[in-house]
Amino acid sequence: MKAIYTGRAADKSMIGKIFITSFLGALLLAPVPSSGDRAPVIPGAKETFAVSPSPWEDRVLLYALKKNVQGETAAYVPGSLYTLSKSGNSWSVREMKTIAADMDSGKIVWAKGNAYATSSSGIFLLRPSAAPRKIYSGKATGLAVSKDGVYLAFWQSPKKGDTLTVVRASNGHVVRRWTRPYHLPTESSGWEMVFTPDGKSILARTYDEEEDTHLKSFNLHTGSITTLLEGCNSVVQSGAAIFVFGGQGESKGLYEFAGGQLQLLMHIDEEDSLTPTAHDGLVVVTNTFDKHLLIYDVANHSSQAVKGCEDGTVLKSGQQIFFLHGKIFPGSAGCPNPN
Amino acid sequence: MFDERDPREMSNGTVQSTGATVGQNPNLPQSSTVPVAPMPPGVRRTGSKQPVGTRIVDMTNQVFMPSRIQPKPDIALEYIDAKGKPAPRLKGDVEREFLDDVAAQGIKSIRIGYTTNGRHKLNSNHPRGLAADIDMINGKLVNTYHQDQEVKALVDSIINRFNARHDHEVYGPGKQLYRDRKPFNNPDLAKEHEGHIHWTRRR
Repeated sequence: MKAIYTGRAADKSMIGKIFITSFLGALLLAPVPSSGDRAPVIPGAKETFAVSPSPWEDRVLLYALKKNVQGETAAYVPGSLYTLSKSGNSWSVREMKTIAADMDSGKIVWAKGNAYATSSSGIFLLRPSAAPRKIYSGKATGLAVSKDGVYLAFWQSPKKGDTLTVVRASNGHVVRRWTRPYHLPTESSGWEMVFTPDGKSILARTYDEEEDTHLKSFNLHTGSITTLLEGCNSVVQSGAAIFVFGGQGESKGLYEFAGGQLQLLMHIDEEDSLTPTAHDGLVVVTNTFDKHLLIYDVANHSSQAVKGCEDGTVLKSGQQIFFLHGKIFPGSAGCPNPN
Repeated sequence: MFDERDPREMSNGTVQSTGATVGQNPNLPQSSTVPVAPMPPGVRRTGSKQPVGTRIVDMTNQVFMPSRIQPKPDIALEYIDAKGKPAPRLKGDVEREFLDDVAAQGIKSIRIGYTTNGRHKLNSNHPRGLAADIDMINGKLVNTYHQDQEVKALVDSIINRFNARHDHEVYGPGKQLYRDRKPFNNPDLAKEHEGHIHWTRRR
């Protein structure tokens, strides 16, 4: 575990204690795969992205690329949607060829027993035991769904600026739009957004200021825009909880958004991102480049560090799965030692 | 004295063509002389790891040359992000390659805002330390490309030179997107590069 992962901004003297709790947390959190567990395989996959576990069952949706890609243009290479399900000790993997998205726009969210996924041609509703149904035509980037499943929010890219659009999920009618300029003097790095628990606002990463990527709140009823956090790398919904990675200096790190406020959980001085889990109290802090993950347990203020994998999540049953170069490992032991 | 020119420019004491016809921007006059603007006061913000006013001179391939040969002007290079904070410096060999690549005619100063700092796209070359984003040239912001003819000429000149030198990812304002010197269209990527030039080290 890197030292920077162990310092909480509120109390630097906690560093040693957090090392210990992190270690204990690792012992408690890490499931031991049974001997019957066999890793699910996506044939030919080189890369996985937009990992999104179901809050209700041991199922995860994600996209996979079947060729190696590199550079900024890699973000625009489409890959198919896959569903991974676990029943007992066996996994099933299914490709949904009709739905494909790239790393820039691909996003999967869950609400009311259904999933919603972006594709290069629109937004699809995925229901249990039913064929995918396109509910919005046109390219959508990033995606959020309100808790009651009534509204969908996503970015669209007109010729100038970026437009945050909210539609009714039932009929695709536009409820509100905000068009923001692109001012950041570097490339975009994701378009994550979430609805607040009360459904009244959308929290989204924005590129409309020169200085940094900010987390802003877009009020659905008044249309007002409020900056919540300067510097925002990621915002995700894990179960019903909302987690944010961002901030600056000593205030940079993992936050939870609760009661209308952001609370710093852990100071982390890296350019990390977040992957949701199926649980309110667990989120995965990911450093894809260094292949360094941290599974943070909010209730216990403990964390489990995993090295050697690019991404990971925790399913409803507590089963952990990890990802590296298109391979899937049901447990951190599968992640190759980076040393 | 030390001659700091690229060896490819020194065969007979005259500047050779570096093959600028390949991937060249048709909007740039072929014989254009790019006007040079001094770095205005206050542009070099404090807080950089480089002392204010420091010139990082490309000393690659130093060759002792007779004094009658005019050396190529050096380029002031600074690493400051849009918040005015220091940006991580490119590693030695990468920085030398960058300076070789960016030394288009009339370029006196370059500001790099992003190297490994900030979050970037998955699979980007930034976290690998192999990419740089230029947001200021000769003290002028790249995002004034469409309003300032001088900036347009400077940007186009740099992009032409990058392409001539086989850089594999070159993106800049005016929908100038090149991969391996081949232009391509991507409205999203074009929009994101209206305010800076993205350089990636050669393969």
